[in-house]
Amino acid sequence: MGPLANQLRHDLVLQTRSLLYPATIISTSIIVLFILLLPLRPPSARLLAFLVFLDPATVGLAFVGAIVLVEKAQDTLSALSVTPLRPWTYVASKAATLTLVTFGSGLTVVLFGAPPRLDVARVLVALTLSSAVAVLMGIVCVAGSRSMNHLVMRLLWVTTLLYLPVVAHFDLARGMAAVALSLIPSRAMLLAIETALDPTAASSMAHMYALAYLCLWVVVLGARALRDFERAILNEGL
Amino acid sequence: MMEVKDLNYVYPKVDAPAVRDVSFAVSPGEIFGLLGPSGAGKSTAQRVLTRQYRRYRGQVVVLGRELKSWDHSFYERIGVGFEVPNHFLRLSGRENLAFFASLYGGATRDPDELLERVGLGDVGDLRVSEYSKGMKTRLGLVRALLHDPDVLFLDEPTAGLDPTNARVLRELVREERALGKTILLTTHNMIDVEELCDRVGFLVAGAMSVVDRPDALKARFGQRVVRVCYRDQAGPASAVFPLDDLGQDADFVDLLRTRHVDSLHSQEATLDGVFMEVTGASLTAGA
Repeated sequence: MGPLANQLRHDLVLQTRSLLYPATIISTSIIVLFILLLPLRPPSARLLAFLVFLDPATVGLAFVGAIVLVEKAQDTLSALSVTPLRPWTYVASKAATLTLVTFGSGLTVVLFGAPPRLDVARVLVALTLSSAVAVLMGIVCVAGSRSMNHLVMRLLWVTTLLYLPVVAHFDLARGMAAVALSLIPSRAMLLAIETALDPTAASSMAHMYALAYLCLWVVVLGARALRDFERAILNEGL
Repeated sequence: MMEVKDLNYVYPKVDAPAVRDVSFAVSPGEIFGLLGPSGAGKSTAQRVLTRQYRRYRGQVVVLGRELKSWDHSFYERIGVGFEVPNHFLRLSGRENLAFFASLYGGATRDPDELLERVGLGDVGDLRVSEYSKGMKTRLGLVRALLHDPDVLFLDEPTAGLDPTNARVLRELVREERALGKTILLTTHNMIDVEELCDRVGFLVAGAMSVVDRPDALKARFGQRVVRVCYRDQAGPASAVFPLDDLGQDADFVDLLRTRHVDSLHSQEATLDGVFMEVTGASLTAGA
């Protein structure tokens, strides 16, 4: 078994033992229950996109942060830092497994929302990229956190920032404010999900912007997560 | 096998070096003890030698190569035991070892055999969160030995262990030495030093003041006298006699004949005492 496959297997076992999957099922069920209780069925693509976005914003950030912080608290990074395991393998495995969990959770919400004009390929791409961005943000948050309190503060800031573009998503911000909000990656997440649920909701150009912008963030956050974990492992106070 | 010359390490944003001009060498089949109180620079030195801290100055050659020229394959050849246990608590002891064994490219030792050696054979399937600190410490040593490394770095290997288990771990470390392993022990536990170390280096405030064999240090700094505690009509008393030509010392012989002797002790130096005399600091201070 290669190093990455080995680490993936290990992470899946750890996440099972940490009860990540039941916790994800509960949080997703709450969103699904909300959809089922909506008077208007199916919900509009815009509302459903927001509800799908809630999953990466909660599961991707908070759960990821908690699960990686538990490992940091156990100081297993010190033990791993003197083994042949490479930091990129560690980060890639964490990102892949947690993205898969977030992706599955988002897909469940989409299926219960049952949008009539759904574009399956676009949904898969939008959910994958959105989940990856949220998970990598969670990893970056936790990599540089010194304690649970520090992590909670960081997550609070990042979550607030992530939710700001919801204002633009519901057309409550216009002009420069809307442009400024589109710099935040969650604007691209919401746009990519909405145009996947209803391809007529925005132009192809807007959809392409959203996907390209999310790809850029995956690369930037991936590099940052790797750098931060290398620093956390080396622990030279850089 | 390990050669350190003029090693210096300064933490970022700190002026004073944590390790200053430290030099020593450790041969295969030798246990070298790095002694010093907490904050002396032992852990920093170990982190440099295990390639965790890489912005050092000086020359560090491990396994025949300058440390800076090693890549990740370095970790195939070294084993590190930590003072504070750091295991995956939600995995069992056996699962922890299986995971760590899977990280190495080469063959690994039989984890069950090692668990049995340290008295964890029966609890290998128990989650580590259920282990006591001593059990976690023993598991840590097993993990360090798992891939049969050529060089071992052990930080307080018997911390938190009862005397019986501490003895088992010391025996295990001695066996590694007999196999020709190079072992660096960082500690302030005098029993570990006395029973394990072939040579020791005293580290205080980041600087190494003395490197020598423990018995040589004790002989150099000890007093060659014997103290006799005895009782006579006036009550308990004591007397000190030179150890040299003791059998010819008439007063000593007379005391043995005429008084009731309670105890008789040669006045060897303790390593803690030697440390204090050489460095002006106590090994246990701040520990």
